[in-house]
Amino acid sequence: MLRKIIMTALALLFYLLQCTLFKTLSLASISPNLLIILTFAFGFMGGKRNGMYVGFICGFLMDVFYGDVLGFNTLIFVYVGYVNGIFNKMFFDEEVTLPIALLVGSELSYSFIFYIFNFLLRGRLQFGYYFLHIMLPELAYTVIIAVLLYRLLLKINHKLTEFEKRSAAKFG
Amino acid sequence: MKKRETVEFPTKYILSILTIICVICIVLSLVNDDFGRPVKNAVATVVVPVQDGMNSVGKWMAGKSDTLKELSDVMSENKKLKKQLEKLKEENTALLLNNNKVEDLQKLLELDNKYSTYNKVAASVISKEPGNWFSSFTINKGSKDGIKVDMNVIGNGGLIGIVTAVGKNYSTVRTIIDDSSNVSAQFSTTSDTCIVEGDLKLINDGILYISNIKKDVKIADGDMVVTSNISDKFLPGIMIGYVKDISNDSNNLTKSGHITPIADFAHIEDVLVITDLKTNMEE
Repeated sequence: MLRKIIMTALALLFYLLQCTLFKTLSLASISPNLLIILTFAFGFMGGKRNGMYVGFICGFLMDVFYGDVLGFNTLIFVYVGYVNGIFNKMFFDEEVTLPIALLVGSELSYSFIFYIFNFLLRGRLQFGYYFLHIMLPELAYTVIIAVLLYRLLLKINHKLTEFEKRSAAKFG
Repeated sequence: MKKRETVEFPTKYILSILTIICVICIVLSLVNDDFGRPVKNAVATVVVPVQDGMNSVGKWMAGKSDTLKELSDVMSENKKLKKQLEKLKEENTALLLNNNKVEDLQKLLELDNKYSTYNKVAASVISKEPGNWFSSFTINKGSKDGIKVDMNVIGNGGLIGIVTAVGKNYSTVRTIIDDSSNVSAQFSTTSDTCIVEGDLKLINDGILYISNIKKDVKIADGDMVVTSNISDKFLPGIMIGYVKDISNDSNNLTKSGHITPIADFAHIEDVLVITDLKTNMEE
């Protein structure tokens, strides 16, 4: 229960930061995708169920305020959380390459799907341009921010797992 | 408590249920624009006040640093303005000599008068689109302040965008530099119509794309573009920007080019929403 509350609060906080602070910190009008970081991190660290939960809230927040259709971002984020949750079995605190690979995969697939449905279908065919000028810079910026944030998220996850173990022992 | 957790639903089922819910939501919101409004309003009542608070903290901090900058800015601006004044004086005499242009100026004046009679509501920007693909923002005024969909939004004396969604205490504004934005416009000097389009590729340069100008239209770089009479959503005579790089299209029938907007889209903080709707204007 505590985990759910913390995850909801974090999703809200990250959403607010992304819409305000990170928009002013944008470089060449590109800002990082914090919500993907959060969804990936909790999917990878906490498993499919947690990943889907965080993904649902993150996507839903984006849809409520900025989505053309309600549910589009939610759907993508739920799947991002789920797929990252599959790799939960291979999760170790010290591992570095796998999380980065997963984040890159998540971010790129989100960008791809977004491009296909919102740009390609409107006849914007210059994929190369959008890849070089939007997707890659966003990816680079997101990875840099993720490297800084991942430690913090790991710590939060660690505390949560500890708390859950303790309360399970109490009730069990 | 522990026992209940052991008989949990398989994750695959949860995933498929969520997928079905999302797909149904997507279909319903494609069919009906009002779908999900109660949910959106419920979320907004929690999120918007927080955003508003964060926004005022940010503004206070920005204000502190601005006062330091201001002094040097004012001095350099003074120099610039003096130069501009001389230039304008020259231009003004040239205009006075040119009798033909007086009529055009009168037309512009009429447009200007119309512009100032519109009813406006001031609002501040509380958040911007989280993604990098589109350009829209949220303002802290909604249906309870009389904002409706399709109302025009202006700022810095120029057109900024149009309201695309309205909640109880917030509304979403799509800017004219957004990739999906199209504005029917006209030249203030010749009244010839054209289309002003936002383009993601031009966003970094701070300019927009202008097209569908007839080939024989006599325009030059620096001519002003305003919203046109024939647009069904934009009120007539709102200034958009100045044209540049006009060239003939390959079909040799039309011209196209770029337009430098008057509004500064990188630093939108406060905007004015015009509460007159184009659809009600003819009455």
